[in-house]
Amino acid sequence: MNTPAIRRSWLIVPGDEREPIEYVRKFQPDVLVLDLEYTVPPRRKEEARANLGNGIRSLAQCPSEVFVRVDWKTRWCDVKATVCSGLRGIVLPGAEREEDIAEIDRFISECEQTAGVIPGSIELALILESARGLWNALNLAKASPRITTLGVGRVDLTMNLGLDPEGDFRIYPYLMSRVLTIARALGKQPLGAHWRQGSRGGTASPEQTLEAARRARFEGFTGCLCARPEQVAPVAEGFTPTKDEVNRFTYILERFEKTKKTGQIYVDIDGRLYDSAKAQAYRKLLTFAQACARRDDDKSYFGKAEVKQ
Amino acid sequence: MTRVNRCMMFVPINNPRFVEKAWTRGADAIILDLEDSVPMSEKERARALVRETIPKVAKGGAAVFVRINKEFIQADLKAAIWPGISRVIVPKAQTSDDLRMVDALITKLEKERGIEVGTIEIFPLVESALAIANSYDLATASPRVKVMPDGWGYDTALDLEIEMFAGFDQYVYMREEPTLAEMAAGVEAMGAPYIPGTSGKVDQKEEGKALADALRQLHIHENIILHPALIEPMVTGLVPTAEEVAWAKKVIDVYEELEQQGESAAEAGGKVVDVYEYQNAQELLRWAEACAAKDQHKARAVARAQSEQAPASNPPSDVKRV
Repeated sequence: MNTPAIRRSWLIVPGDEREPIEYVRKFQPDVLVLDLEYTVPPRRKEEARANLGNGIRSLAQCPSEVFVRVDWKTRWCDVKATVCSGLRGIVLPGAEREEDIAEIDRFISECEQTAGVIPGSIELALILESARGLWNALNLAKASPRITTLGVGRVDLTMNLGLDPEGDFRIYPYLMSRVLTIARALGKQPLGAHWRQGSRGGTASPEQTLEAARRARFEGFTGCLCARPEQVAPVAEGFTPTKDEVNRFTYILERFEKTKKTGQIYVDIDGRLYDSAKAQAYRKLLTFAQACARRDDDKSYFGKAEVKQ
Repeated sequence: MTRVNRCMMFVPINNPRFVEKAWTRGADAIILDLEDSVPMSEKERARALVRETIPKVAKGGAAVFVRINKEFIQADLKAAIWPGISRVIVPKAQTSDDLRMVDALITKLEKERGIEVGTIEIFPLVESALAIANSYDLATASPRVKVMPDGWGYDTALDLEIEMFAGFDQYVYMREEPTLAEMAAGVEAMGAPYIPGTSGKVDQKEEGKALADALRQLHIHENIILHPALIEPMVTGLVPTAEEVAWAKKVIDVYEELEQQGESAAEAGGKVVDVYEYQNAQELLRWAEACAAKDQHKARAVARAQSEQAPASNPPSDVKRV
């Protein structure tokens, strides 16, 4: 892929939702995650599974990529009900042992064959939620070539680690750094936001959400799960370079190129030095910002076009 | 009974003044120290004192632990494993082999001395770069390891050439890597959170209160203190507050009602109530009850000790009349 995958907002929508496409129109997430986990009460899970194929098919032409989040406890029937053409990948929370991942990987291969899906095309987004999972993160992330994303699942994590959800998360910055480092080392997308107290379980205000996403971007993350549709917009904003940043990067790059022609290896702008490594990083950021803008254009066009019909 | 060691206080076993007073201080646990507070020339004398000192320091209802020397594991354990000792603090543990050796020796001594096998805990101190790197192995080396600290501390600072109390947190990795390892291993993590502005002086009551607040919010139940001034802040500060208890009860009520209605989450007072919060609330109430039970146990022990002492020092007045 030449352009980077733009997956900033991963909106979780209950798997028994009849019209998931409405969420794409209204909220325009980069990734739509049909959920078979928490947001579906146990008595409606069977119905949600049966409904899933239709849901995914109905999203075939939409600009959001489609994932399904499975429930660890019922992962076998969830995966079986999920794999079909149109599905980009599976969000897998709760894994702790590499054997379990290898097993799921093989099972997905079987399902791909049965469903006539290109072998190996279904991705895995691994969400680490427990102390064991986080301790094992490197081995887990290596356990299947399907894994393209590595994330911190905050709600379950908080509980498993016995941290006070309202307190200052002492260990959280460390866990974020750990997942980020492992994800980057293996070339996976790091998923997570810097949620703070008071914003647990989807109660974050738009301002808190924006702050959580922005801080996560500065820490190196490129997207996060959204528990509520209202979080999509601030998450997208927080994970996208701002206009000011884009202008600044552009200006610095222009100055750098000019200076380079004179034989200098760095440019001094207001006392800060910029060299070719920094220039390279800014070029990458500009490419990313442009890709984000294109993605947002696609989605908003889809939203408007559908409304007109 | 749930283990309640809100404050474990070191007592230099070779100093009679400290030993005699120790039971009156109100600590949850007393650590008889054979290590840093005993000079090399007095190690042997110190060892000989352990057995008789146990009942003296236990009079106020405190649990009694012992800290041994890394260099004298065999001699120290032989002198220390007696009925009444419930935990061995192993300083400068480096590898799981260190702890397996301690485990085997304790098992042998438990059998010889009529102590139920497996009841004495091992509490390894993480005090070096190697220990931090090996923290998962240390946490899983023996089933006797139930609680374990992180890599914060004086000895780690020496080993890694860290300047302590420099006004910022230099221990992010050394603290959280062992903490995560312990949690992954199913061992209770006894972390030491960073409190900005900590002076490093061991007798600062206000700093003790701030630390106790942080520990309570992080659900950390144990702490080692170096000065009696910190006992009161820890014993009171690690107990859930009245508001926390009231909130926990409310969460339980709200959730149980939700469950009956077949729902799984709701909002109350601006906070989410779900199965996680419900479990948290139950945990909090259990801990509050355990603390209350420990306080009661200590109060009874103190009353008993005082009534036993009273007749000896103050003979009844009618005796005088004779």
